[in-house]
Amino acid sequence: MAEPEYTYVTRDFEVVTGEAAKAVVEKTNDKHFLTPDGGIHTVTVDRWKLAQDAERHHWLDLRPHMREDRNMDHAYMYDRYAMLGGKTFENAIELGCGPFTNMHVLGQVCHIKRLTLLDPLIEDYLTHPNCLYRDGSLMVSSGQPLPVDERVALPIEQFEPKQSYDLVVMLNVIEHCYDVPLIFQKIWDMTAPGGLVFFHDRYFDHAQVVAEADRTYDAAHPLKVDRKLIDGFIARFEEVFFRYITTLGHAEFSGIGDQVYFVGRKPGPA
Amino acid sequence: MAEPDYTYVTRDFEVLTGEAARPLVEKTNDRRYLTRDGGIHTVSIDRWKQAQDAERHRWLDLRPHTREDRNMDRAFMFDRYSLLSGRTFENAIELGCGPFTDMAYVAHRCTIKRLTLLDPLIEDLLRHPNCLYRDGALALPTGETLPVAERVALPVEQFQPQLRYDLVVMLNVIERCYNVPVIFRKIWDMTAPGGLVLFHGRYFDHAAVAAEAGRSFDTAHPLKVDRKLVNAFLQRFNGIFFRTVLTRGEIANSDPGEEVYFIGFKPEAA
Repeated sequence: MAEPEYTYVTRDFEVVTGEAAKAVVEKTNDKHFLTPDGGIHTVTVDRWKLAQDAERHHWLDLRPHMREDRNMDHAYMYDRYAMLGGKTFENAIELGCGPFTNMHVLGQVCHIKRLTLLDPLIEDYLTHPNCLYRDGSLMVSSGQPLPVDERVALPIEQFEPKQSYDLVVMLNVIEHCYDVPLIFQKIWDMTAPGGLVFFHDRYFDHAQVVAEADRTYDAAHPLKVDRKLIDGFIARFEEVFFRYITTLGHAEFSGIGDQVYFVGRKPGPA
Repeated sequence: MAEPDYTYVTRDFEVLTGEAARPLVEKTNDRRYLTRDGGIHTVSIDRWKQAQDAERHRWLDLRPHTREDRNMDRAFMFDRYSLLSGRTFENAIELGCGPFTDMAYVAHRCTIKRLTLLDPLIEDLLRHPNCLYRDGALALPTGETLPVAERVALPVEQFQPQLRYDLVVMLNVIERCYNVPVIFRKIWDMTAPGGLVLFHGRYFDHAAVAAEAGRSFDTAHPLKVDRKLVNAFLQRFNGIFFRTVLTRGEIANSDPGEEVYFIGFKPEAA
C-alpha cells in the first residue's frame, strides 16, 4: 500500500496537501491518541475544544448563508425514513444536532411529542441566520413547527439525562466528539427499552487510521473510530435497518470511504 | 444455508409467499434461464414481453397517479450528480427511461444539447398522466424544459444508433431486459470515446440466484445478473465514481441486497 499523502485541514477547512502540509502535520497531528486496535476514539478535552472552535467558525463565520448540512442526503440514505412512517414518540432527542438538525426531516414522517436538541454549540448556533430552531420551535420540512422542549448545550459525554428517550438520533457526529466509548454507553443508557436509535457515521479501519495518523491532521475532526467499536455498539440493538455504503472516486456531498446507516431497537418492552 | 421461501410476484405486483406461492412457482419460474455462473442474464423474447406487459400495466393501470420512480433516491446515491456539474454534452441518451426519466435530474446539473430517450414502452408511457416528456420536451426539476430530439420505442438490444453519445444513462434497467451481454456491448459501442456512462443496477450473486431460481418468480423482473458480469462491463471504463450500497431490514423506497452506482469515461483510445 502506498503511503498516504500529507494532508492538513485547517480551522478554515482549507485542505493543504504535499510538502505544504508536511511541515505542519509533522508538528501537529493526532497520532498520540491512537489506540492499539480501535483507531482514534478518545482525545483530550483540549483537543476537542480546538475541534469545536473550528466547527463554530465553520457555521458562523465561513457558512452563514448555508441552509442545510447534507440532511436530505442522510434522509435518502435512510430510505426517506420510511421505517418511521406513522409512529409516535413520547421523548425524542437529537445528539449533535448542528444548526439545521436531521430531526427537521425525520419529524416530517412521524409524530414527536417532546423534543430535545443537544449540541455543545447550540446556543451559538441560535445566531446562525438559517438556524432551524432559533424561534423555539423546529421548522419541520412539511412547514409545521415542532416545539423544542429542551436545548442542551453540552457534549454528549457530559449529558446526564433526567429521563429516557424512545427516539435517539445521532448522525455524522462521532468524528466531532472526544470519548466515543463513553458516548456509546450514554446512548445505550438514555434509550428506553423498545426505543429506536438512529446512528450514522464513517466506518474506519484501524489499519487505515494508523497509516494516516502521522500524515494527516483535520482540525475539526479529531476522531476516527474503527468499525469494530461501532459494530460492537450497534450489535446491542435489534436491527431494524442497516445500510453499508462504500464510495470510491469523488463525492462532493456524501464523501468517499465507508459509511454505515443504522436503525436499531433497544431490546425490551416499549 | 436455509432454503429460500417460495415467492411469486404477480403481474399486479402483489407479493405471494409460502404455500400461496408454491404451486404457482412450481408451474412458472425462470430456472431454465439460469446460466452456469452468470446468474440469469438472458431470457426469451416471449418471457421479456410478459415482463414488459407487467411494466406497462404497472404505470398505466396500477399507478397512474405516481409522479416519480425513485429518481430522487438515485440522484442522492449518485451524490446529487455533482460530478456532472458544469459539463456540456452534445448527444445524451437515457436507456430504459420510464415515464419520468432520471435524465431530468441529470440535466439539472449539466448542459445537454441533444437528448434521446429510449424505452420499448415509450409511446405507451406518453399516456401516463404525469409523464415528464409528454409534450415533446422533458420537464426538469427547475421548471425549465429540455427538448427531446428523439424518442426510440425499442429495447436496448434492438437499438441501432445512428450516432455516438457522449452521455449514456442506464439506471435500474437491466432486470427488465432480455439479453444483458448484448446490452453491455451496445452501450460500449454507442458511447463516444471520452464519453460518460452512468450505470446503476442490482448486484446479484450467482449462488443466491441459483438457490432461488426454482422457488421464486417475479413477473416484471426476469433477469438477475451476477456481479462478475456487471463488474467486467464497468471495468472497461475509467471509473470516476463507484458506490456500492448494501441494505437490509425495513425498506420501502429501495431494494434489499446490494446495488452499484457507477460513473465512468470510455477511454479516448478505445
